[in-house]
Amino acid sequence: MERIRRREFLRRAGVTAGALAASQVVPRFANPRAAYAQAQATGTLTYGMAGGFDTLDVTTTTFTRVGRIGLHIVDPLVWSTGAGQYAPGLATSWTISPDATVYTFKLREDVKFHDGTPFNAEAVKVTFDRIVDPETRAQTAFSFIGPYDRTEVVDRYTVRVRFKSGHAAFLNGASSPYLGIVSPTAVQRYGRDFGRVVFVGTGPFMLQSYRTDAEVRLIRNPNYNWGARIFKHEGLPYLQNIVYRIVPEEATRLATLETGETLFIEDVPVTDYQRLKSTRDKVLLEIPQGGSGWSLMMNQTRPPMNELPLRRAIMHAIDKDGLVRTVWNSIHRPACSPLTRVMFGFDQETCTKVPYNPDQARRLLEEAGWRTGPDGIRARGNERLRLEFYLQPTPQKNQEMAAFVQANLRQVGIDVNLNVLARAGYLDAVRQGRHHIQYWWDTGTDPGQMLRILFHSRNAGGGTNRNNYRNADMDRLIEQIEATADPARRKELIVRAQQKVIDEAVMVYLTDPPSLYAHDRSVSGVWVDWGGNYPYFYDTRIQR
Amino acid sequence: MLQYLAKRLLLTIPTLLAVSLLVFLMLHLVPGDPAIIFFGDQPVTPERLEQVRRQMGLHRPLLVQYFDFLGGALRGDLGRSIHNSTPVLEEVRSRIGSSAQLALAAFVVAGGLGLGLGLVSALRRSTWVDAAAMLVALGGVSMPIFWLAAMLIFVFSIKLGWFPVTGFGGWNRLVLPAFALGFVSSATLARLVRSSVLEVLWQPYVTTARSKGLRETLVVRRHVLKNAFIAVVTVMGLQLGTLLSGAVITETVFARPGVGKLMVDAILAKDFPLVQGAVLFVALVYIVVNLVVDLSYAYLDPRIRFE
Repeated sequence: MERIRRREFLRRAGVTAGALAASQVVPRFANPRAAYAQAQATGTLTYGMAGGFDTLDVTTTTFTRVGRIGLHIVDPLVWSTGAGQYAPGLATSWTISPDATVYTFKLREDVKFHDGTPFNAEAVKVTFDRIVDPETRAQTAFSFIGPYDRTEVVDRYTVRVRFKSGHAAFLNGASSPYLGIVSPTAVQRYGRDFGRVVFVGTGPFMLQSYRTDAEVRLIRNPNYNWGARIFKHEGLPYLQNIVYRIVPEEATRLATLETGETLFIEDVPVTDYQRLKSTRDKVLLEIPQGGSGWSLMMNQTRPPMNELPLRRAIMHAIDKDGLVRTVWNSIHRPACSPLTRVMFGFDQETCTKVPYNPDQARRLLEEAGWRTGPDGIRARGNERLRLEFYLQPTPQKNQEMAAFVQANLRQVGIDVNLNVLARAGYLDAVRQGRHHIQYWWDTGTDPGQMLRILFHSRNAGGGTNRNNYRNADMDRLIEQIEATADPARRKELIVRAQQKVIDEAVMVYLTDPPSLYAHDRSVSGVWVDWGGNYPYFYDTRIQR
Repeated sequence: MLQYLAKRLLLTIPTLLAVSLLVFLMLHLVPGDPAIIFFGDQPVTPERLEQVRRQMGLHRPLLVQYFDFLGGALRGDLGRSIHNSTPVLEEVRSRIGSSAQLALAAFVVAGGLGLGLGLVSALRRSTWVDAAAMLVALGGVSMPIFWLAAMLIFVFSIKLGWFPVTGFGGWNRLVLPAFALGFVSSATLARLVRSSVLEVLWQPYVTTARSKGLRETLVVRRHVLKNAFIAVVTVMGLQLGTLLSGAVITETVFARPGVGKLMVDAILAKDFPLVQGAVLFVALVYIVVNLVVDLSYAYLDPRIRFE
């Protein structure tokens, strides 16, 4: 009796499970055409994002991805339309003191936060004061706000921001999502949950839901009527929803674009560049990146890297054209200076200053007393010319480029040992200065900030200047750049700084990368900032 | 039986304590300062670094940090992530559903395929069926999971358009990741089932059963499978734990948030409270699964009694 019951139970369970599986699976087969039709009907753009992040609060994050999402939720005070060019955002006009220590902004009077709080000078003050409050633990925003002193509310719609020293890059910071203005009411009300559960700004989209490491859903702000003039239309955004779906694996991300599960993806794999470019129903967006590009830092506190001829020899020994062809499928461009070509003040002359010349590299090494040994590696007395290159295992290109550099340097008699370490061990090693060589790659749009990060002595000894280059003239030059508001004078100083670090062979500049995005052809009206970091969907429509 | 159960449940407490202490010590032994990782390549002054270290509570003596964690855990509070201040319990809880869904589905695939292949190959020993089944198993053991996952996406999502690529929300999104994860486990299981069944197949009691004129299916089900299953059930139990917490690659390729990925990310960021919370959860899962496995022995072999 019992046996029959059990058998019957199993049979029924099997049938039920089978039926359930079939009913769930069969009608939901993925179908790109249906996906596009649904996206168009619902006005939903699904975006394939390359990884997760810490918080949604742009003022505390360290992730560019948060800026990409956040720019839709907060509005910046100004918009950057080109290197050193700005257009009104939440601020309608502004004045800057000649020493770049005082910025006065006139604000829009018709703006409300998503929670109904009116936008005004007080909100700007709360946002900026919160960024410098140590309790907030702001990161990117903290470096953008620079030598911040205080914000004064002049009247309800006029605000004055004061800096302890000149901060000519403040408009650049204010145009980034990271200094976007947040609702003071929401900040107070939600405390530690602000950015984690809720995030409230004045932008064209509002946060609808956030599932950590999985998905962020934005919904159109039904009251949005203060879009910046730089965009093609006014009033409500065309899209109803934006869904940011986190898809870390690049091949999977590309597959989602092909099946219609996403309509827009970031970080297109270089290996699929040509294929996507020739696909008729996909559009590849290729925007030269602002920032410092891919480069090598050479730690001057670890001998023999303190020797100028050795550093210069390394600069001559690396075949950047070959690197671009071999590793980057000719999608990057060979780099010239610590600033990429699109940066304000980029000096074209730097491109001819240190050509690829292995013979010259060998000559320099010979003159410095490094003689070739029987195994082809140079030595001076008992000292073998062996350099420790520290790198992280990902992205995969890290290792490919390192192998290329290693082969190049071996040709001139330099032995390079690759130390591939996970993030924690890597950061420990390079912050302690155990490396001879390490990579650097950074995006950004302010040349002063880039130069400070790479070369200012305050960032040496465990900071970001892992060249550990200390030069009082360079420090002064960087501080002058930061305090000079006059564009012509600023440009002159930036050019001088670039030439100085090339003359002193501080770093090796490898490649200028583009930002690569791809979208379905049904998507139109995507705006991307000139630095290539923030695709913005205010003008975007989906039409098949 | 009840006494046995109570004893086993009580034993989980020292086990969890030992696990938490071990994880805590190991995390502090490996290099990497969480505050430095927090800033990464951002410019930061030494003062600010120290400030963040204090905010993370890392300035306190190690023992104090450990007992604080322990005290919190006893009250049901596993603390907050030192990187984004999210409660650890919430971080783990938000991923359990997705992980459990994937693990169970993969378990069904692994169990179904593994038992099927193993049994068929043992019963048809030294025939082409045996060779074919073991070839499939060999494929499963040798195939890297990321490759299999990529192939499944290519064929079933891109070419045939049958299933969505990324996977959470909806059973149709579960099929490919469950198959990718389950297939690899099924291979191990198939080989184990085959050898266990073969071992039992020629035992005197099986011959006796046959000689009594019992139908072959009955012989296999009642006398062969039941006896062969003790080892198989043990391995299946362990595999369920692995499927639940060790599906990092599958979770990454199919973009599913899960406990495995959470744990790896937390370890890389040296997010102490998060690692401890996630590991405690995984340890608990293993303990429970093992207990269930042990209890199932009594059903499979009536000679085993828990007293």
